[in-house]
Amino acid sequence: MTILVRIWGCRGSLPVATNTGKLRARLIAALQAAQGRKLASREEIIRFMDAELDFAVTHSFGGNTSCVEIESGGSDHVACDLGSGAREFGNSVLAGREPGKPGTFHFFLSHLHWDHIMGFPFFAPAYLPGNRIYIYGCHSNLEEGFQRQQHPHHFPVQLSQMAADIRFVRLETGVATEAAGFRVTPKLQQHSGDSYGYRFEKDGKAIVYSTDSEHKLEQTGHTQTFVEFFRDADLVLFDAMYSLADTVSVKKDWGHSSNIVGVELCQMAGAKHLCLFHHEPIYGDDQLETLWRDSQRLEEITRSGRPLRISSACDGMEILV
Amino acid sequence: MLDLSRLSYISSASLRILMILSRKVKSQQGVIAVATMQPVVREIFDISKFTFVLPCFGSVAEALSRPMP
Ligand SMILES: [Zn+2]
Ligand SMILES: [Zn+2]
Repeated sequence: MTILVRIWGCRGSLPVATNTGKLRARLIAALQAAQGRKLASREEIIRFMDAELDFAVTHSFGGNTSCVEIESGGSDHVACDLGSGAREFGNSVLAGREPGKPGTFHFFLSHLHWDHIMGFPFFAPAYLPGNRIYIYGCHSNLEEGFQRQQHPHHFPVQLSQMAADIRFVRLETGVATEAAGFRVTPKLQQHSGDSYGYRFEKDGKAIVYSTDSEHKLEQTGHTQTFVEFFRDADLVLFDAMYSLADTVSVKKDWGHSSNIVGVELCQMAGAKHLCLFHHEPIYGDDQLETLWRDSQRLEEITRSGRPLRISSACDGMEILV
Repeated sequence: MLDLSRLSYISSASLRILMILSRKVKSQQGVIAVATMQPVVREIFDISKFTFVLPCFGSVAEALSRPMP
């Protein structure tokens, strides 16, 4: 059975938005490229855009922070993290459901840094009675992190005032749990205050969500545990926030990783698809495109076995696994 | 000066070690530079942005002809 993974937010640290200047620059690039062309119909325009314009002119990597939905195939909803992307996720669920019909949500939290929880106060299903929301995580202060975010100093509605039935479920690293038909195994990762990756398994498919995680691959014990965690995965969503040079120099111990390490780990693990995730907010679409193309090139020149597909997460992107 | 002409591939772990080494040498007022990279190694240096943190030269002779900071 095919599993659909939908990216609602892929930006690291802080949401970003476009602005008029950037929008105009794209329009200028597109109109310049279209000069002298007779683009009479909508279809011709789309063909021209897809075939002749740069990816960074026609696409946006998006600006919401971490939230990735994994469709369960059933009526329950499953997602990783509650960054600002959770707002659109919640709205889309409500738009697609008959009014008043309650739903059940399962969120797996990498950690409690702000960019991974900031969407929850804007997650509309949390305000509707009858909805049940499970928030899973390995941190001992999981519930406290959410309560603090909605302390009256920071937000007008407290967690206890949200009408849905919200439950926090503490997981243990390495111990699998069942949720909405998935077997989910958390793994401790190197990050300030600790973070956890999750491996989702169902019907012989495996999806790994591993963000906010630093790797030092010369530590072979560490490397081996991640190779096992990624082993034969159909999809790995991977923190590729910085360049390798940054992660070993100025941004050493900042708790993030690089595209190079993502490619190496996936190659060692025999994973099928690497999706670069948790994009640096400073990077524009053109820089993210370069990072993506560089990663594809690296995979090509270092390939020894089966090819590894590499994509770069965009808000709204859907991946079939 | 590291002559990389016989190196056909370099992993992130080796690059990290190179960086640690470079920092150690710097603390003693020295500098590590690399030269004669094969095309694949050069590409890995480019992609990892290591070309910005370690001086890279086309040949050992070229590297040695440059004044080092
Ligand atoms: Zn983050
Ligand atoms: Zn974090």
